Amino acid sequence: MMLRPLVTRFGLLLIGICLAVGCARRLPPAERVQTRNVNDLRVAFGSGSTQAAGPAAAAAEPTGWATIKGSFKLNGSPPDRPPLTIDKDQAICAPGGRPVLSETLVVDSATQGIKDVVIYLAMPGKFPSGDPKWEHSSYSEKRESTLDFDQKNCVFLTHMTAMRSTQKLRILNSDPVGHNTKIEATGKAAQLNATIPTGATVMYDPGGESQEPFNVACSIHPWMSARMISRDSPYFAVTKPDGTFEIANVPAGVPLEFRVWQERAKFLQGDMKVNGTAEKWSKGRVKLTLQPDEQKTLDVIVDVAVFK
Amino acid sequence: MNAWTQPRLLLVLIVATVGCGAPVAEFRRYETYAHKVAVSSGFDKGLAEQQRRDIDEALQALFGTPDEPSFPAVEAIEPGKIVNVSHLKLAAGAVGSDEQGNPRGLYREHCAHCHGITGDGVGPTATFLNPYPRDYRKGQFKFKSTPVGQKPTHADLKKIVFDGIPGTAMPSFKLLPDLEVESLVEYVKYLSIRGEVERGLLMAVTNLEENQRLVEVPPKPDQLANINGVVKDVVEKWALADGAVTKIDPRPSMTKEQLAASVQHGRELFYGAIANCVKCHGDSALGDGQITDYDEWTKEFINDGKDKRLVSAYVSLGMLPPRTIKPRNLRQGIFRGGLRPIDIYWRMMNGIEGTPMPALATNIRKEGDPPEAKKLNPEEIWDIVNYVQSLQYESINSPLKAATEAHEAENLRERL
Repeated sequence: MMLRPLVTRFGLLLIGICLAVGCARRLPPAERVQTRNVNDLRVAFGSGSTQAAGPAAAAAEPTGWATIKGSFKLNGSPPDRPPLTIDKDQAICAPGGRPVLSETLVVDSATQGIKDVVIYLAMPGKFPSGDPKWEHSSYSEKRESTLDFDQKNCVFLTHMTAMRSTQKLRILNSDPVGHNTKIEATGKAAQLNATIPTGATVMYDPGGESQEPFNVACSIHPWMSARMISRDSPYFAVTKPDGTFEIANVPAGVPLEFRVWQERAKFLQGDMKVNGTAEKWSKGRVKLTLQPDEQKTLDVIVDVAVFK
Repeated sequence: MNAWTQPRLLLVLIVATVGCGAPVAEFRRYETYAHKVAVSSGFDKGLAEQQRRDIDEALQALFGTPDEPSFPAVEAIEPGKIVNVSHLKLAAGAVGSDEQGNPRGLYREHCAHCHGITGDGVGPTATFLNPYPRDYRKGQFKFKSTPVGQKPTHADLKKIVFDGIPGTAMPSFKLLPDLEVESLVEYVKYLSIRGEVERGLLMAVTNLEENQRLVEVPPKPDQLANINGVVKDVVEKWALADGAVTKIDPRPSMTKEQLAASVQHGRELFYGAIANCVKCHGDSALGDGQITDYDEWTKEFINDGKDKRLVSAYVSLGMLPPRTIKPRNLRQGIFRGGLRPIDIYWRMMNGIEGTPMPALATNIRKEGDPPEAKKLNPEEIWDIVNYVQSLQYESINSPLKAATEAHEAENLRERL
């Protein structure tokens, strides 16, 4: 049987070849990208121009001003607000052992109004800040004003802050203990993490806008939390404890998109009842084209299921 | 055919088909952030695969591949100002050298095993390290001369590569030739900017409708402008870093009595209401004051970490199991950002980006501040620096005594 050693030797040789040659073989990359597309795109990105060249779309311009007024109310019984864990400075942060409740969803028991829903204009592209066609003169006075942001008993007194990127925030501390205010801004809004001694003030200048609300925290008292959004446009509102809001002097005659956000639900989506009619919302987007001098009502009833 | 032939042939076939070929190095997708933006923007089914591919192709067109990196042109920013592409090439690709003997693949040789090919901080050894390696893609770095929210300078990153980070697995690369260190710094900036652009593009997709394309071939003008805008926003911030360095007045020179007084005053400030260091660094400065918080690379996904389902969802997407962030134990004499007085000064003035450490810069007295305003004088920061530097020599059993007794202070002066 001469065949057997031959096969053995041949087999070993083959394994040897495979081991030696095979290892140098390179596998093709995963087929996620098509080289032709990548090359075309590389040429197209070219000099990095951010001008939308080509046939200029006839930019629509506002023809007047309108007002949006409305409310956000809950359908169903509001979920319990869990107490927060206060594990430091209890004498000041939870005087008398009083529980401090979470503010992720606060519903007014009398009206079912939802507090701290934020509704804001989301322009495609940059808002023409200061352009009198887009920014009503009633907003110019507060364009560069300063808002107060205080904390007492280790609670941020404004849980949801909406501000213009041109405005400033004066951070205060009305507690006898020191805090630090950590603004975990996203997008073009500036970050801040500063110690705020008792009775001191620190100024915050966002300088740019964020696409969606971001967190504000205190690292010393980790249960403290607030939300904030900075926008270039003045067209935003935060609902009051009874769930109502109003945005005055909104550009009319142009299609607008607003976004609606609430801390627990994030962008509101799902089944809503808007002015009595059932609607399905996607990603908190509300598209409106207002008529000049229109008083637009936006009464929204949000089912408790939206808040999971 | 005997009994051995078949298994042998099988083995040959297996080796031949499966092979041991090395896959081409590829950048990994940013799965954790993609999930986060999809959830927070209401994309219940996640972003569409087509949209993810659009991002892959756009990223490759802008930044190339790990073997062939490139850097996009940015309007109004001089090419090469932010990333030097010829240095980049030394760090890119597989480990080796070219015909002239110039090195290639330095990043893969020195960095990728911890920081990963993508710079996501999840290289093969990452899981064994504490602290975990930095994920560059957020564009945030802790130890730098610029305030929170500003990018590090080239020199800041170079210092870290050069000196390493004491108390961590990050070694010093002092022994490499300067050109090689330079090229690694360029490559870190490149991965960081690429990661930030990836985040920006993922965010841009969330502004689209569910099946709307981010970019088509050939691209529409508004799609191009949108993507170039994302790149510009990222790169512009890096261009501002050099101008954002926190300037420091020199440390005052002191006699030993003055130093003892400075240390004592620094101690008061450490426990005082303005600097308030004690709250996190603890009553004995052992770093045990606030130990339940997370850093921002982690918090961004898991918030306070109490929702275990959320944590395991992100771990399954590639995040390393989260660990809380610890304030520095100031008695060990190990300072991650460097132990020069200027390093400690910068940490206090600027805060430490991505961590709970706040900045004192907003609490410094300026001209025109009323005298009763709760502010620190700039030189008082030096007092805290002096105190912090003295802590490693102070007996933990009698902390008060150590700072006041003259001979102790003298001792301290010698060692400083």
